[in-house]
Amino acid sequence: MKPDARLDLVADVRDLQIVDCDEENCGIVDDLELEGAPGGKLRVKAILVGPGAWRNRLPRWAAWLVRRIAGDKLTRIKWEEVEKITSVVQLRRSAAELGLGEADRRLAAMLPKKGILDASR
Amino acid sequence: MKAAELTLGILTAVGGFVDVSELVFVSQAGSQFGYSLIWVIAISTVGIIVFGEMSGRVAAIAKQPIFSLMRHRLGLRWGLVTLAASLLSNTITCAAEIGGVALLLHLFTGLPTAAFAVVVTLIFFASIWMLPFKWIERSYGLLGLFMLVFGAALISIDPPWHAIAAGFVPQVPPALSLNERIVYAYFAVAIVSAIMFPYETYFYSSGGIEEEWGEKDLSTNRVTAIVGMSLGSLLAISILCIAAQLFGPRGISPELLGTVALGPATPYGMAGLLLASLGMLFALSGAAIETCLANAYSVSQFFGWKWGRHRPPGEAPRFTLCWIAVFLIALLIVLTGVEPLTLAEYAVVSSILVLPLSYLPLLLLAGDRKYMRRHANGPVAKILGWGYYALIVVAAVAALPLYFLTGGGTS
Amino acid sequence: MRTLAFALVLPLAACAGSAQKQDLANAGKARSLLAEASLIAEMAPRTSATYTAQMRSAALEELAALAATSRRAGGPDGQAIAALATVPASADAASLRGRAAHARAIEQRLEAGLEGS
Repeated sequence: MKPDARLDLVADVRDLQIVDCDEENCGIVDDLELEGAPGGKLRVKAILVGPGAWRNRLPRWAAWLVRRIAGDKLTRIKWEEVEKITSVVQLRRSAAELGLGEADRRLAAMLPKKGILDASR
Repeated sequence: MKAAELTLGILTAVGGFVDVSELVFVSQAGSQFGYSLIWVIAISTVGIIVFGEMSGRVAAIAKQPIFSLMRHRLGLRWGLVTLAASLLSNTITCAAEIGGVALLLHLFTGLPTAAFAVVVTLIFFASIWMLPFKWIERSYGLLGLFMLVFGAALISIDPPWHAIAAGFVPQVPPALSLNERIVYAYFAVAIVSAIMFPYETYFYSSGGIEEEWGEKDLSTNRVTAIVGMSLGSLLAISILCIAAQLFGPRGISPELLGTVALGPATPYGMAGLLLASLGMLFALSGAAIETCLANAYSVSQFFGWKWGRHRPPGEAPRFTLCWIAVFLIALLIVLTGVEPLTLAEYAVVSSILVLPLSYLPLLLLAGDRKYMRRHANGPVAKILGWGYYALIVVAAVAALPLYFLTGGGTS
Repeated sequence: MRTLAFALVLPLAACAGSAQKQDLANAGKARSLLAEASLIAEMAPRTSATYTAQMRSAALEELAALAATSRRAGGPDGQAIAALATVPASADAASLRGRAAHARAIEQRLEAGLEGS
C-alpha cells in the first residue's frame, strides 16, 4: 500500500503497529490528526501516539481511568515522517529522533542488558 | 534435521497439552458421567487444532502477532475489553498452575505449600530469563511426557474398550435426570473451554514470530498442530477413562488434585504415582510459563511495544516487566490460600466468556488475503473455523447460567 | 390478605427448596470426599507415607469445613451430613467407605425428593 494511494484512514491506518526506520516497534497509531475546513478537503496532518490520544475514543469514565493509570502523554508524528504503510506504518527516522519509545529507554537502564544463555538470533 | 525438529515439536505439543483445568474437569467428568463425555474432548481437540494451525499460519505469513492485528481489526474499545478479559483469565490460570505445582510438591514432602509457591515462581522466572525461547517451551513440554504413564495405566487396568469407543459418538446419556443433564452440559462447556484456552494460540503465534517462521514452516506448523494435539488429547481421554473406571464406581468425584495421580498408582504402585506426579508437575509448570508469557505478549503487542524472548531483557524492558508482574500477581493470588482447583474453575469459566472475542480476529485475519496472500483460509478452514466459532459462542452464552445452576458442577 | 399470604409463603417455599438443594450438594460432596479418603487409606501401602499423610490431612480438612457448612444449614439432613463428615483421625478405609455409603443414601433420598416435587 503506497502513501499516495487511496486509504480508508480509520480501517487501514488507525490502530496499526508503528515501526521506525530500523523496523523496531515504537507504538501503535492511537489516532490521526486531520485538518481542513467544513466542505473542503481533509488532509492528514499527524499520527498521534500515546494514551492522551484515547480521550476522544473512549467513554468518559474509561478515559478517566486510562489517564489515572497511564497518564495522558501524547506524541505527534507528522504525516511526512511516514515512509510507507503495509501491515505496519513504517517511519522515515528512528524512534528516538521522533520522541517515541522513551519509556523503554528509561526502563532499560533498570534492567541487565544480557540475561539468557543465547541472546542473539 | 527437519524430521528431528518436527518430532520435537510434536512431542512438546503432546507433553504440554494437559494443564490443571483439564486435569480437574476431565477427571470429574469421567467419574460422574463415565465415558460419555469423550466426544467433547475429541471435538474440542479438533477446534484447538483448527485455531492453533491458523495462529501459526498467521505468524508465518503475516509476520504480525495476533494481538496487534486484533486491535487493528476490533478497534480500541473492543480490543481493550478483549485484552482486559484475557489478562484476567490468563492470570487466574497462571495462579492455578503455580498453586497446582506447589501443592504437588507439598504432597510429597509435607513442606508448606506457600514456600513452594515462592520457590517455583522463582524457578519459572529463571527459566524465562535464562533459556532461549525454543527451550523454554521444549524443556517443560518434553518433561511433561511423563504424563504418558496415564495412557499406560489405562491399558493396564483393562477398561471396557467398547464403552470407550462408544464415548466418541456425540450423545447425551438417556438415563440422566434433568438436573444431571444440566451438570453434563456444564462439564461439556468446561471441557471445551479448558481445551480451547486462547492463551495457547497467543503463545503459539508469538512463538512462531520469535522463531521467525516463514512459508517453509507451514507444513511443520500443520503437522505439529494436528499430530501433536491429537496425541495430547489421548492423554486427556486416558485421564477421563481412568476416572470413569477407578473413581466413578467408588462414588469419587476428585476434590483433591493428588487423587488424579492415584490412577496410575493403582496398577503401578509408587512408580506410577511418581511418574504421574512428575508429568503433572511439568505439564502445569509449562502452562504457568505459557500463560505468563501470553499475557506479556498480549499487552506488549496491544500497545505496540518491543517484545520477545529472543531479545535480551534490557532490549524489551516493558515486555520483561510485564511477565515479571504477571508472575508476582499470580503468586500473590496463590498466597491468599485459594485452592488451585477453585482457581482452575474460575479460569475455565472466565476463559469461555472471552473465547468469542479472542478467536474472532484470528478467524478474520487468517481469511484475509491482504495479509495472508494465497495462504488465506481455504474452504475447509473456513467451514471448520466458522463452525467452531458458532460452537464457542453457544458455549460462552451457556457458561454462566450453567455455572450458577449447577453451583460450579457440584449439584 | 390471600395475596399477602401467598407473597410470604412463596419465598419461604423457595428457601426450603434451596435448603434441600444445598443439603443435596453437601451430601454429594461428603460422599465424594469420604470415598476419596477411603481410597487414600487403601492405597497407603502402595504410596509414600508422606503422600498418604498429606492427602489424608487435606481430605479431613475439607470434610471438617463441609461439616461446619452442613451444620449451619440447620435442617435434619444437614446435621446428619455434618455427623458423617466429622471423621475421627483414626478412621480406617472400611469405616470411611461405610460413611460414604451413608452419605450416598442421603443423597439419593434427597435427589428423589427434589425430582418428585
